[in-house]
Parts: sequence; C-alpha cells; structure tokens
Amino acid sequence: MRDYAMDLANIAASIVNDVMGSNLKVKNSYSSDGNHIIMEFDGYPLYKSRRKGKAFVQFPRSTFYVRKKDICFAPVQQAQCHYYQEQLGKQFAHPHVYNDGHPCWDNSKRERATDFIANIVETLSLQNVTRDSVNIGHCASGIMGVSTEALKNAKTQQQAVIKALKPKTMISDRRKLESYINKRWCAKITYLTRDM
Amino acid sequence: MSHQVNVLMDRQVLEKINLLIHQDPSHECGGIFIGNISKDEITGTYTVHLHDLYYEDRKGSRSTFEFTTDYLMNAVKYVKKHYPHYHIVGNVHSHAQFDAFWSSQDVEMMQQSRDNSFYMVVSCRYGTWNAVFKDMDFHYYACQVSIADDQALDHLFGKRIERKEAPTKVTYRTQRHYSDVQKRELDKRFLHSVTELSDKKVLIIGAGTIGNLLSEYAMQAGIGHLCIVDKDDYHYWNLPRSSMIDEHAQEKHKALALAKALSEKCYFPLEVTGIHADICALGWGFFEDFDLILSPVDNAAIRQYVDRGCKLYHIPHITCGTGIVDGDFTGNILFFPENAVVDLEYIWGNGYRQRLEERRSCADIAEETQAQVMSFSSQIAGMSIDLALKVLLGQISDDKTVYKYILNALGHGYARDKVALRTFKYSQPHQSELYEIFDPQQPIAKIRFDRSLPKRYLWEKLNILFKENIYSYRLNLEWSLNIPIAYDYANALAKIEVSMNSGVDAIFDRLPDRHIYYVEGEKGEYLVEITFEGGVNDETGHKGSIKRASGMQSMPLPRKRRICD
Repeated sequence: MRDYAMDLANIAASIVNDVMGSNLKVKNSYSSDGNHIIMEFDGYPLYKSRRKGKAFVQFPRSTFYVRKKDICFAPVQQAQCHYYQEQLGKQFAHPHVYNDGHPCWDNSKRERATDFIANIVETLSLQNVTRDSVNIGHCASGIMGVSTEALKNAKTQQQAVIKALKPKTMISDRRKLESYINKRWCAKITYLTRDM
Repeated sequence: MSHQVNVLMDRQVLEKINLLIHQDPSHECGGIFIGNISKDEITGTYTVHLHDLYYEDRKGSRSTFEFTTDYLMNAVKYVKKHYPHYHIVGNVHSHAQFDAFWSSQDVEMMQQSRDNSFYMVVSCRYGTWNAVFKDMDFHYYACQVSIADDQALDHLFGKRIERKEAPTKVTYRTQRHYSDVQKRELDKRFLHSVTELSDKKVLIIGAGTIGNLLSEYAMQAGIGHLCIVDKDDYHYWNLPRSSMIDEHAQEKHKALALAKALSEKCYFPLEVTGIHADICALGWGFFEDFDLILSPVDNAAIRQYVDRGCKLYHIPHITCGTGIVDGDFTGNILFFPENAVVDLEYIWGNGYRQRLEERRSCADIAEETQAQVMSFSSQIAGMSIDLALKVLLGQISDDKTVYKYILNALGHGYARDKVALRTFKYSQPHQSELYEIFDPQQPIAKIRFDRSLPKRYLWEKLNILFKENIYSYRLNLEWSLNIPIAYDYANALAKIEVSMNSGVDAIFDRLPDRHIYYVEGEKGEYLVEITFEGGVNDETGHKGSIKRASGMQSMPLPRKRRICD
C-alpha cells in the first residue's frame, strides 16, 4: 500500500526545489483534517525583512492521484489553493494573493501538473507580477501596494528571492520553465509507475 | 416584585435585538426602546408597548457599554422624525461574557432618570435575558414579556440571527372525523376511497405558486402525510400567486406557513410537516421515506438534484415548472416512475448546470421572476396531481417509461392550440452521468459513521466494503451537484479524503446526515450511503443537517380543530 498522493506531491515539491535552488528546504505534510497537502518551503526570504522564513503552499490532497494505474492530476480551483508565509493562515506576500491566502490566477494555463508546478515557481519567485498583471488584472491584495507601487515592491522582493535562493535563470521564461518541469515530471512519474 | 407590568413587544423589536446582539457577540452593545407606557389607574397595572428599537453600530468593551449623551440625542431625533406618537421608553444592552443579570452599573444607570422605564439585558453567549420595569418612584417590577404574534419569547434569544440559514421544522397533525353516512357520501364523490391515500407520504419541494396548488390538491385528495420543503420566505409579491396562504404568511418561512395553512384547511386527517431548509442540505437519504416526490421548483439544477436522489432510492418523481417563451407561458411536467430508464439529465442535458447552480432561488433574482402565473400554473399543477394520484393509487403499471409533457398557453388559434400539449415518451435506457456508475439492480452499500470519530475509522469501513486496500478513498462532493459544502467559496473542497491515518474532520459536521456519496478509489468508483451520527451541536447550527432541521422551535398549533400530539 503506497501513499501515491504524497509521493506525487513530493515529486512536485522536488521539482520546485530543483528550479528554485537548494537553499530552499522543502517538506510535505498533510493538513490536520487530511484533506490538503501542505508544501512547506523553509529558507524563503521574507518580504520587508532580513529574515528568512517559511512559505507554504496548501492544495487539495486529491490534486495528484492514481486511478487504474494512471497518474492523474485534477486542476486546482483558486479557492482550493492557499499561499501562506511564516505560519499557516498568514497571507503570502504577493500582489496577487488574497488576504485569506488564495491566489488570484493569472492567464497562465492550469490544465496540467506542469502548469501547477510552474505556477508555484512563478508565485514564489514573483515572476508572474508584471505591468499588465497589476494594471489590467489589478491586485488581489494591497500587501505590496497597488499598481506601479506593487510592481516596484514585487520587483524588489523578486530580486531578494533571486539573491537569496539563486534559482535557475529559466524562471523568467515561462516556456522554458514549462519545458524543463515537464521533462522532469515525466521522468520522475515514469520511474514511479514502474513500481505499480 | 409583583407582576404588574405587561410588556408587548412588536416582532420587529425582537428581530432588531437579535441583530444588535449578534453583530459582535464578544462585545457589549445597546439599543434604545421606542414605544409607549400606560397605566391602568384602577388595577395599577402598567402596559409597555415596544414598537421599535433604535440602535447604532457602536460597540462597548467586553464587559461594559455606555449609553452616551450623543447616542441618546440621536435616538431622540430619530423618534421625533419617525414616530411622533411614540417615546423613548427604556433600553436594552447585552452581556458578552456573562449571563443576563443586573450589575451594579446597570442599577446605577436605572437610577439616573426619574421616569417610567423598561430595561432589558440579554446574554447571547448564554441565550438568556432579563427584564425589569422601573416606575417614577423607583419601584422595580418584574415583567411579563410577550411577542405580538404569540411566539414564546424563551425560544428567541440565543439563536443565530441569520434565520434564513437555520432550517426549522414543524409538524401539524390534524384529525377530522366523519360519520359513516358522511364517509359514504364522500366516497361517492371520489374515484378512489377517501381513506385509500391516508397512509401515503408525499414530499413537495418548493412552496411557490405550483407548490401551493399541488399541496392544496394533494390535501384535498386525502393524502395523509405531506411534507413541504422550501428555503425562502413569503413576501408581499408572493401573496397574489399563492392560493393557500394569506397575508399573515408575509415575511414568514414558506414551508412553515404553507404547512400551517394546510393543517387549518384540510378536510381529511392530515399530518403535514414544513421544513425551512435547502433541500440539498437534507441529503438524498431524506427522500427514502416518501412514496412520491413532487418538485415544483424554479431551479433546474435543484430539479436535477432531486431527480438523481429519486433514482438512487427508486422513488417516483414528478417535476414541473413554468416559464415564458416569446412572451407567452410555457410549462413542463416530467414524470419518472420508480424504475425510470432515463434521468432528468438525459432529457435536458447538463449544459445549464453551471449557470443554474448559482441561481438557487427565484427570490434572489426578483427581476427575472415571472409575472402573474396563477391561471397557467393551475393547469400544470392539475395535470401533475392527476399523475401523482395515479402513481399513488397504483394505476400506472409501467414503472420504467418516462413521460415529458410540454404545455403551451392557449389562445393562438386552431393550428397552434392543437399542439398546445405535447407528450414525449422515453422507454429505452440511455447513458448519463448517473447510469455510468449506478446500476439500479444492485443495492447501494450502507455505512453508519460517527462524525466525532477520526476519519480512519471510516476508511476502515470503506476498505472492508471495497477491499482496494489503498491509502485513501475520496468522497466526491461534486457528483451530487449541490450539497452545501461545494458552495463554501472560502475553503472550497470538491473532494474529501478518507485516509487511513487521518483524524477527526470538522467538515463532516457540515454534510447531510444521510446521503449517497460517490467514492473514488484507485481501481474503481462506488456509490455508498453514509449515515452520519453524533457530533452535532444544534446550538451552533452547522449547515446541512437534517438533525438540525428536526430539533427546533415549536410553533403555535392552529386552533380550528382538535390537534393530536
């Protein structure tokens, strides 16, 4: 009996870790009610602080599952996913994350596991904050200010993340990022399915 | 203290007190009573009439609230402007942490003015209240407080103010006696015996125009047990299109008001239950007790939800509704016998589902609500009840074929009037989402589970049933379309994990007591009926529990006839 949901979440987390840099320590666990998986990243540079702390991504446990020996991914609705920092329940500092921690999705795709992982990378590295995203889509929260102020503060935090974590340069190119994640995901789940 | 003070409180005052004290139960707050005080000089009895409550969005601390001068002045201005014939007659304040009692500060406050005043203290934490009347000579009297429409006051504090979300239930049992001669005379005027339907149980979902008519016809046909479920209240615009209720039903829960009206008007022994609740909150298990379900609901998604439950429990189902096409009325009646070969989704498709799920009630979109429809709706209701009686009397031998009737308004001339009623017949089985997983020949597995236990015990039961021996099973909540949790936007969950190492899950408190779930494993999918027990606190009132719906306030019984129990 294997806990495939956790195995798959571990694979996803390891890919995020791979892209974001080894300074980020990642650990997965279940929420207390067992309905969610909490991806915990330790060593994340906190906004407006010199400290490093934890960032959390919480998503439904049924996001990754195995059905009839196939590995499946269920696209996550924005209200089902939460980004926190320092502690669970505390909003992640990002212009497009609401006060209760759920993200306001941008125009990126969400259909595949690759998209989900790429979105985590882009959110943690604030790469998905652009002039259009803060002006056209507005900001879900005012935690970094609004409009140009949000963009400016997000860029500062983006630089702080890059400086602290030294992620792969591909994070700024969504197409390259997806391609890399997809290859890694496919390779890892192929390895996993051999044991089924 | 002697009982020399009668206090008559208008219902709006009560509602406002509830609003006031529950807006922030952790802080004290206060409001000012507006009304009149009179004294019977012969008996010495005071009568206090409380007509309105003035309050502002002001909070005190956790242990004090002060009626400031500007607050009182604002109240005076409010009374001058709105109620020239009333006065300020006292005040009410809440206790956030303590029971309702008179503290030394309260007594000091009462002693500050030398006039007749009525004071009230309410504790929303403990659900208690206390009232006292002070005359000009600083004598204090206990008060007999009553509400204008006779409802017992004790029930009303300490409940959540959002009464629309709190399901309530009331059952009226009315007995009617006829002599043998009268019975024979009545029998002559019925195609069936007047007692033939006395043991039949019919559920009517929706107490709108057609719901009123259907319940009236069902009651007059001699059906012995009716249950009405609706989540809305009657407003003035409902009155001209609701045949059973009168103006006293205004602003009251539809289901309860209609049940009361039926019990007062019935001519045969009748047990009628009104449940003010979202039908989805009651779960499909609620359906099993009924011989027939009628769903005259304006919401297509709810009609489909009800239909799916009926299929799972093999209960005959008639659903009907009206609409407007090209400026004229149209209506439909769909009859599904107990072993119907197709379901509503096959007949209608599910493209409308997403749009209509958001629309739970026509009360939410008054501007789209149809105009006066009594005459046309009565045709739909009449045809529906004809079918219903045939089902209940066992006159329909084919328990598989589904019929759809489309009725259009008359008055367009011969050619179009000739096809005003169209009939469609469905006798061949067809696949739909339901029948992909549901085999009508196979019984659905049943599980009982205590909500307060860790989920791993439920996992054990599922594992014994399905023998997949996997780490986690998933209860898919979206399969049944509308059960309440799917609407919790802040923490939306499409699936609940039941895994071997998980603890207590509070989400179970929000699920219906008895419902059929679509369970996903790794090898296959299954249907299982889960009956949740325990772990329910009626005072806190979780969503979606029939238990909450059944443990509620008693309602005054109609006085016209002798009522049993």
